[in-house]
Amino acid sequence: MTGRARAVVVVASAALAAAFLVPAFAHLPPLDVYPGPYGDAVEPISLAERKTTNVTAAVAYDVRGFDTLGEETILVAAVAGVGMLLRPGKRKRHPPAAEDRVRDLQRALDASRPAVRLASADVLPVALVFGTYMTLHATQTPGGGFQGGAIIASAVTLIYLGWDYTAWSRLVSERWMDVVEAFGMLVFLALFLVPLALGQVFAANWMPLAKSGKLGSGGVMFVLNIGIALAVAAGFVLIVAEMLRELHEPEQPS
Amino acid sequence: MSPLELVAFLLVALAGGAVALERDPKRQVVALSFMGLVLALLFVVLQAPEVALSQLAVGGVLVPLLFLAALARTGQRREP
Amino acid sequence: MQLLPYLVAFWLFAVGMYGLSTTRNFIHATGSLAVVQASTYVMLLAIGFRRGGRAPVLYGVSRGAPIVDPIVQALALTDIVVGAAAAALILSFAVNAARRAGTLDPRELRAMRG
Repeated sequence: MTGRARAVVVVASAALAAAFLVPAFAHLPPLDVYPGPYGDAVEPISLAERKTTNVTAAVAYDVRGFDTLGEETILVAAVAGVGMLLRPGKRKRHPPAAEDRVRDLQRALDASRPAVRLASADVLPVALVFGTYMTLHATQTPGGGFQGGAIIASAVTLIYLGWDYTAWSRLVSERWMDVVEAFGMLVFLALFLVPLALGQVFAANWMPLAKSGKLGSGGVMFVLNIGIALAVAAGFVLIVAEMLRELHEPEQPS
Repeated sequence: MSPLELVAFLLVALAGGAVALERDPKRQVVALSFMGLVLALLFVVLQAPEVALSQLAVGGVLVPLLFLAALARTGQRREP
Repeated sequence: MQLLPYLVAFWLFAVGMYGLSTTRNFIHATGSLAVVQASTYVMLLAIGFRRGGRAPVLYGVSRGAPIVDPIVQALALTDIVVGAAAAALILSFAVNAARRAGTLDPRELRAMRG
């Protein structure tokens, strides 16, 4: 099918779908109104039973923690998939030829951007601390394991953006990122399996709950968020590391 | 609907159209980053701070970085 | 005007699908997929919004204040991370395809498979 014919088919299908959907949208509640019972049912659970002031975190990591387990598994599987796709079967790591090294050095010197380096050096530690803060205070203020982990991963990529690939490959070790990611996933699974040994249901909140507003409120959620942040940060850093290695150390044709 | 929400929704529609209809991948990455930012803004307007934080970090930094790395890698092949 | 959020969600879905089906570059296809996923975020959060509702964080807030729906926010959170993971995977597919077949055009890749 030619490109023009395909475009016509898509636009016609969209028009047909719109003819059905737009009258259906008129029956949905308008933006101002939220009629559903579930959101209002969750709020008292979050504060009274879990002592968590961040209701979204209580939903994501406790009430519907099983979904988060699935999401975490998806992320780990994606990291494994990327690693498998970008890591060829057997390849001898050829050391870069002399002219390649000179060219890289020349490029690095030409592209020396002191302003970017300064900005990266300033932002990196602040972002790391901010990501850690967000992870630890998941149950009180907006934030959590995913957000904190993503921010930590973004901060680590600043090493590549502010300096160059040599600094990145020296400071970021893929093997250690593998270990950290697996450890985070293990913490997650262990926290969900322990209540089975204690005679409770899977993924029950078995740790003691501190007063709401304190760091340990939410029980299991505190340690769970740390595990999630480790897994997410290491996972994203791994994906970026694989891509960058594919970019800077391309496979030499044998 | 307040003007703020109206503007946020329209910006998202505009950004989404720009990303999908821009054929040049290099320009599309910039549009993608802009869409991530505008989406985070919409999430804040809709009172969803957690989602906005996640979208900012993931859709604003990490995904465009992956796009750029993939682009650079596939652009490399055309050199020789 | 009341339909605007849902219309925006439909527009994002439709234009993303259009970009996806008429693409000539795998990486452009991944970007269009991100637009399609954005339509689901908009839809979810528009359903959960309530006029006068606060963000679902009760830190230092008096009890009984109406909040927006936290469940759809948890769903959207999951959605964002999964979307990023899928984009990373598709991009590595594209890089791999370019490495093996030398092209990023989906139409040419199909021809080479035969």
